[in-house]
Amino acid sequence: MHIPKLRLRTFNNSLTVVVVLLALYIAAAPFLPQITWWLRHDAPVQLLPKKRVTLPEGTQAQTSSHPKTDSLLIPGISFEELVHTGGKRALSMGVWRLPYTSTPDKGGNTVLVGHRFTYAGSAVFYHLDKVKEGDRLGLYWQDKLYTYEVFNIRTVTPDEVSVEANTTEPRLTLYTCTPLWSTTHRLVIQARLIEEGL
Amino acid sequence: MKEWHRTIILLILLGIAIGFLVWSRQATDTNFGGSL
Repeated sequence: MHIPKLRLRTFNNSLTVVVVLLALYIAAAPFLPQITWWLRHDAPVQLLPKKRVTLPEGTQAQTSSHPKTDSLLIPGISFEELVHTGGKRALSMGVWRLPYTSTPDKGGNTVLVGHRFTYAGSAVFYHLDKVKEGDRLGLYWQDKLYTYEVFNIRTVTPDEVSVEANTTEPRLTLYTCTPLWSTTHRLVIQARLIEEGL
Repeated sequence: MKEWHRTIILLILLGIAIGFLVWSRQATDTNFGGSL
């Protein structure tokens, strides 16, 4: 089949644009969360109790500002994300509560995981390495705020499943891949419950 | 270089880019399984 040279050249020019854009995306995507961090890491995220707003009769009461229900807040890194439940596919949506671990209202060990970086889905825990011991974490769960304090940060291998084990004391465990852009280890952050509010 | 040579090179590059993205997705999925 003979393709006219001009048409082939037009096709090649279009293909060049696609290839260049794809290459730029592959090269730049790993650094985009860091650029976003430089631009907005001062944005305030506070562990505020929900304030009820009285609405006209017949309408449902809603919360004023904070936050979306079932969400994780890390004020130290201006982090506020919904916590997703369900099967493994929820991981690509953001923060995922491991379904076989506890929930804040039941005590025990609540384990939340998220991608550090991925081309497919949300890389919510990109900045998790910036969390320090003593930092406060907030977890809104079923309309109630649970405040935790980080007491342990460590790096483990992927087969170190003990961090997912249930505990007698109420605890929040976060983990993600480390080092950045690698899946060889897991960065684990453990926090204990210090306050349970409305 | 003939025009169809350029087409082949571009298609190979496109294949490599798409292959990399697919591989990257599978790598993160399999390493975030039920165990840590």
